[in-house]
Amino acid sequence: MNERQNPVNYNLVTAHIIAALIFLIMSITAGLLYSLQFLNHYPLQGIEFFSPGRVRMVHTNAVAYGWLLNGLLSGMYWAVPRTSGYPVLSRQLSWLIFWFLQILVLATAVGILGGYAQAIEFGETPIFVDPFITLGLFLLATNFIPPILKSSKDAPLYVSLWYFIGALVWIIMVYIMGNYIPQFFVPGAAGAAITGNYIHDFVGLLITPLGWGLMYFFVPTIIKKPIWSHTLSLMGFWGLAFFYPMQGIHHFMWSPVPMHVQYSAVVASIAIEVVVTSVLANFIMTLKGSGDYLRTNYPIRWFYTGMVFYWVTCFQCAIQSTLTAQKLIHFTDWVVAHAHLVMFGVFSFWLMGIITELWPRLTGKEWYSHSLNGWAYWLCTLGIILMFIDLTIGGVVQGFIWWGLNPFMDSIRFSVPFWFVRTLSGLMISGGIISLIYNLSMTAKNKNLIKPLIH
Amino acid sequence: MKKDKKEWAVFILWTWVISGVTFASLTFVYKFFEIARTVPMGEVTGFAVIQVITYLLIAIGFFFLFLWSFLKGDFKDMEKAKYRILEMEEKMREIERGT
Ligand code: HEM
Ligand code: HEM
Repeated sequence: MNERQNPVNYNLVTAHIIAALIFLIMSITAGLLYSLQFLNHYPLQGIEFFSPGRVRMVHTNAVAYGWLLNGLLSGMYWAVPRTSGYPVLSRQLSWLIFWFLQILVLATAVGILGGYAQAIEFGETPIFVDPFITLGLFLLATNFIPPILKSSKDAPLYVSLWYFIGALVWIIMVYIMGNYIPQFFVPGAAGAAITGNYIHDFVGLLITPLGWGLMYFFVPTIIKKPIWSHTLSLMGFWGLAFFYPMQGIHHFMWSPVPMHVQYSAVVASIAIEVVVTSVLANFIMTLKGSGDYLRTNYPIRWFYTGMVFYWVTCFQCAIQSTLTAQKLIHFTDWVVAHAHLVMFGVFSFWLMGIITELWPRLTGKEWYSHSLNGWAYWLCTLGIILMFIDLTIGGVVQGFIWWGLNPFMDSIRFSVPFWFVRTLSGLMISGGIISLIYNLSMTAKNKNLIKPLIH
Repeated sequence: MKKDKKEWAVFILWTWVISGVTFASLTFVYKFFEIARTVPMGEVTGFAVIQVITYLLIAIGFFFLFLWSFLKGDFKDMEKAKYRILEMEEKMREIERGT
């Protein structure tokens, strides 16, 4: 079978999934450890290498680059050749990028634990790692864009491919802007304002388009029904391309950024929610008449639960971007609730759906246990709902205590029960993730084959 | 009767989408000018210039991609691509099944 017939590199997809899951374990371990610090029970007290502030950065970086990026890439190495009809530029280059990414994530973790973090949120990767990441991002674009361009000659591009082109190009610019400019050229308050933009662009112009691009591929191909309106999906893409950048000012409200700019950032952030709702409507209309999939098909259930959470976060975003809400919730656990709901409840849920869909097809084995899939779904769903509600309320309580100019220690005393529940919800999430991983490994060892393997 | 209800739903959805995209574009233009306006004022020097330049570089690129796609005729039948990927997926599954 030649490459033109089956352009997907199965081993590569599997390798990215395994790497993603390893970093997910590393990351939730760091998250759980750090959550114990809030309960005054941090077990590694006094060891500089594992000081809590550093472990927090390992948690967020391993999540973003180790888990989400590896996971999204596994989906892309599956979806791009199948949607375009052509393999990626080079198998060797794909493997080079694979190993490069794992080494960079590890180097980042070690660099951060060693005390070399760069003072840029979500850009804590040590400054000596940054040039390699930039190179890696160039290689990624070089690998993925050729099949997309080739396929554009055959027929109009499908929306997923547009989203992938967008993300691959944006992230290079965004990474350079966020990691080098504040460090070397524009320090101080102006640099901080740029990092705010970087944070939002990182999540909004890399993770969001890759995630939606994969949803536009996986949902229709699983339910065997085209997306309700491709026109609408393209409007969503071009809307994102032209109107989503420069959102980041809402991360720095009530800051030295001029007030007239802050006002404009508020309205622009609220406007995005309207567009997001129409993207969701497209998926709901697609599922209309096929709702039974939600009951019978785990990947679809993960996907649509993630979409509901996406709508909830975006609704929350519309509120939290206003200056009034910012007075209350900035610096509180409300923001942490938002970050977890969107990074875990949305994008991680989509990845778990993708992994659940692909694993039996990649290994050629039947599921070891369907009920473990159910456990994974319910523990993660209930865990993240609990974490979200808990931290959101906790955030409001903290905000009001500060607003009332009460002693700071009062806010800590009131927060402890919320932090305790956060650790509990974290344990539930971890339980869900471990159920999934155990099921995957047992499935790989399963003797019951489902179909012939093609490599 | 039933068909009417469906048509209404589609009408409301499209009205929502078009007004939403218009709203988003107008608010974006407003924000863009507010940011650009800080450059000559010298407020928090540096932050606006970088953001405007980065945005323009990306947006110009995407504008040309949009134009290229338009001239290529992609917008003549905008729904075509969604059927094509399902056909391609079916073929891929046949290959996987070894048929
Ligand atoms: C258009 C929709 C969105 C809006 C309006 C929005 C708004 C915000 C705002 C205002 C903050 C800062 C809150 C504060 O510090 O007071 C924030 C933080 C955050 N958002 Fe969003 N957000 C949106 C979508 C997303 C998405 C899609 C993701 C992830 C993929 C995301 C991830 C985050 C993260 C990780 C933080 C915490 C950043 C930090 O550590 O300071 N957001 N968001
Ligand atoms: C075992 C489950 C988890 C626990 C116990 C946990 C705990 C924590 C803690 C304690 C923080 C620091 C909050 C602060 O500084 O106030 C944090 C931050 C964060 N976590 Fe987790 N986490 C977990 C899972 C995850 C997962 C699976 C993701 C994403 C896929 C994630 C994404 C994030 C992000 C983006 C932040 C930064 C939030 C911000 O800066 O506002 N976490 N987490």
